[in-house]
Amino acid sequence: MNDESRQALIADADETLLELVDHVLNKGVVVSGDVMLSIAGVDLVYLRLSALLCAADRIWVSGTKR
Amino acid sequence: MSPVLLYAVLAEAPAGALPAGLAGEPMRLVTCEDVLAAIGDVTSPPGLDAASLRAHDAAVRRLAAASSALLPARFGSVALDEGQLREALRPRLAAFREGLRTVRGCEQMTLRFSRLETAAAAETASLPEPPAPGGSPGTRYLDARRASLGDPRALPEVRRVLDALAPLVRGERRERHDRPPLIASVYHLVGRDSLEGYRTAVESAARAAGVRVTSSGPWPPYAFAPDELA
Repeated sequence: MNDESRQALIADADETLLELVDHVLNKGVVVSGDVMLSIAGVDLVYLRLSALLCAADRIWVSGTKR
Repeated sequence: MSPVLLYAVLAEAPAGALPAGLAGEPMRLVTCEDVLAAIGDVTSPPGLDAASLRAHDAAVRRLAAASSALLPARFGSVALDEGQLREALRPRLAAFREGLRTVRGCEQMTLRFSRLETAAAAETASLPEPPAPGGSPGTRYLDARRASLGDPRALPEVRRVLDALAPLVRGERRERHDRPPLIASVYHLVGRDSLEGYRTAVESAARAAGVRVTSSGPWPPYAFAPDELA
């Protein structure tokens, strides 16, 4: 996922999608998907998740939550 | 060798036909001793985009609706083939069995706690240092960051709500947040026959505690899967 598409995902995020991101990415059984999504030992799944959740917090703070 | 996408780990086969997977591919079950894995055959990991996330969740929900005990996989968990999948699952079978016992007959409900505007405090915990090279830095960083924030039960308004809900809760996972007004997320396992009572109890407990609580669910028990296999 490149920066542009990540920004698009965040920009389009509504509360439901943010909840979905948290649930689907934040936990759950993991096998080797992380390996396939890593480069040079950096786990991109977690880094992406961290970026998305930070964005989620900002959106909640900004008052879009119903 | 054909890559497989893991959707969930199950205690037994779901009732009825298996649903379609994320990309519409037929889902199928593979056995690892006494545990089943619901998988789809894929050519590459799914892209991280909103449509794929929704499709993954929808597929897991269809599975969960026909199952009494299921542990969802994290989005994008891909193994190179069935053999690699079994190798990845086998060391964690005991944890899966325990997890499946815990979630049996339950749904996950998620609570987001926010301070009311009048009570909001500029409280920002200091973040841990960035991760050192080697290992799984992303995982370690997030773990360290969570640990540095502490248990949200230390917040009186959160503790009051959780104590009031305790009789309806069969499992709980808590995370404190450092971005006010969002102060905590709490994930609960609730019996499928107790969901209505739980929702009512959340509303009254939040009013009594003077905190804003938004609940969502029922979800498949994403928060109650054993820790990652890495």
